[in-house]
Amino acid sequence: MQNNQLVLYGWLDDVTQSNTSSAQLIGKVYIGTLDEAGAAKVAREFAADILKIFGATSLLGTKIYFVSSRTGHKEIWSMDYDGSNQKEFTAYGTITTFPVVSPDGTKLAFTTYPVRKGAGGKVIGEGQPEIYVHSVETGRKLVYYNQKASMNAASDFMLDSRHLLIYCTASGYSQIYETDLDGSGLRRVTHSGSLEVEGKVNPKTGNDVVFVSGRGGTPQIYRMNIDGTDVARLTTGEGDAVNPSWSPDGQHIAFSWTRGFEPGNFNIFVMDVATRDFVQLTHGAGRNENPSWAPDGVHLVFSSTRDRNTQIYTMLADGTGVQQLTTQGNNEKPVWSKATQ
Amino acid sequence: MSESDRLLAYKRTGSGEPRLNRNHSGAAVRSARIYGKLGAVLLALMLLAFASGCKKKVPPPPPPPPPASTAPETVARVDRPVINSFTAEPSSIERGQSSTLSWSITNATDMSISQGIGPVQSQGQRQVFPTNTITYTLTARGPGGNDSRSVTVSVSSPPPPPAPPPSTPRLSSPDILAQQSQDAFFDYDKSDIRPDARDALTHDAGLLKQIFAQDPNFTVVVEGHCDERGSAEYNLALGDRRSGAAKDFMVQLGVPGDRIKTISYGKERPQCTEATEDCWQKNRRAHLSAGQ
Repeated sequence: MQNNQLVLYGWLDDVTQSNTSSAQLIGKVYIGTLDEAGAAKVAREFAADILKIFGATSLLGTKIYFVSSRTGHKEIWSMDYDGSNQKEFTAYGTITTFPVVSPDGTKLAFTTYPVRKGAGGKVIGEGQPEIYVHSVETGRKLVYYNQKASMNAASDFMLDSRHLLIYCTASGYSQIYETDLDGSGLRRVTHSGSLEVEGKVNPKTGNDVVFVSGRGGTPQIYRMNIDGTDVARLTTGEGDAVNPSWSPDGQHIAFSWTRGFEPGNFNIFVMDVATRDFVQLTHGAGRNENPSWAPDGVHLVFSSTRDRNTQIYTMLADGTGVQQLTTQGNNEKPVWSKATQ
Repeated sequence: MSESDRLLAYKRTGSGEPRLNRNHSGAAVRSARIYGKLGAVLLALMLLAFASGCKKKVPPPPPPPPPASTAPETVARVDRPVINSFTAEPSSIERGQSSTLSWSITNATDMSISQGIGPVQSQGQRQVFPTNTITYTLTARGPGGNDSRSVTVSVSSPPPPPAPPPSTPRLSSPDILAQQSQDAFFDYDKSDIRPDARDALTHDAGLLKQIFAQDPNFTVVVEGHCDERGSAEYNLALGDRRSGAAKDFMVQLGVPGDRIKTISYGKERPQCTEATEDCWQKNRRAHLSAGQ
């Protein structure tokens, strides 16, 4: 300890090197506050540097946005990758859910039921679900023109962080569309007679989209080109398959599936999109839903009812290393954002 | 005595009844000779008069004047006043409404209508506002005589004003909706209107038409809900499809579509939370609530 600061001297040596002077990989001083948070900070920074040496992306600075009901209303919250610094992002006092973050980490889109207030501020009604877009940096709401339809929901940002994939009922029932960042430039992507939701664009290529469709009778996961052509079913048709999330490598998706269980009992699976081979990561009854990949391509965050309420967990993409991040209220629908600093 | 003698005797007495002169034998013969030729002429004349009078007999009574006829009467005499027409249009009104008297008169110098209307011109119209059934008489006088005609305006009571609101508070439209509307229920993963839902929505359509008729500002929301088992995202779309199907069904039955809004709550607003088939069915529903 020096001058009321916590100072960590960190050294990493390659023990295979016989020459001690060239063996040092890291020789660095890390400074933190003189408390538990400071200790965690210096430890994480050292660990991140170690990871960088080995070519891995660290999770330092990455954020997880999620839905929490702990204030009495479902709102969007944010936290660090390890569950620390949990704080409210929205305070709309209505149902606010389905958060989506842009690839550059600067924009957050979600769906809310706007509350209408009459004279004296009394709540007199709720509007239909519509899309709001906020700046992450300022926290403020940006302009977004919703379609004149009974339902608008955002499911993904495009690679340039300046367009959105949405699902809305402009045609009379839910279909997938693309819009500009402010909602203009509507372009229809899917053209079926069935309900379609949750379009997610390949983060590597931007050329293909996975989505959920009821066109086979039950919700299953399909893929298509970004222009809506070449639709193919990825899942087998068993149960309900929902909540697809692309790995940063653009070759795998994580998703939720009731395969092998009664309706409503979801487990997390990972599938190779090209081969359709899949692996089951969680096992057992209950709901394991909304998996989202970390920028490192190694971790997943998801929600689970394995504890009493619905809580948010992380794990490695092979299903090991499960860590619980939340404890208060019901917490769900996490999305992992890259670090913006 | 001869026939001509007897006739002569009748003529000479000058009365309507034949009276035989009993002392006729001498005098009658003598009279007959003196007046023979003249009598024959007179006889002929008398016979002629008699003969033409048979056609005339007793003249029939004049026909009654035609009622309110616009055709001018044929008059036997010149310069007699004539009321060509006298009408009230309409002849039946509700109290507070008016009727218009119209008349046309010829050959009169002094014309007036009763009931306080007073002197009038020979052609004219007058709007009247009688409060009770009343008969107006038009009288036309002139040097040739007079004429009169009457018309009656029937006055009925208007319908009674609407009864004042009862002192006990009337149910508001939202209350009526909450108490009397029925939910429509759906099969798992489906938005088809099945037979029991058809009955519920038919009932609701009738209820809505009633409420809209007596409350022109009221609007209704059809909510779509799902049970907890599917994903929240897919259920948002499915709930929307259910509310849309329910609205479409009622619009087909004549409920105005611009008074109905649909909102999907997906599985966000369950009305029960047990993991049972009974509770799941209760949540798979379309529900009517008051619009704002």
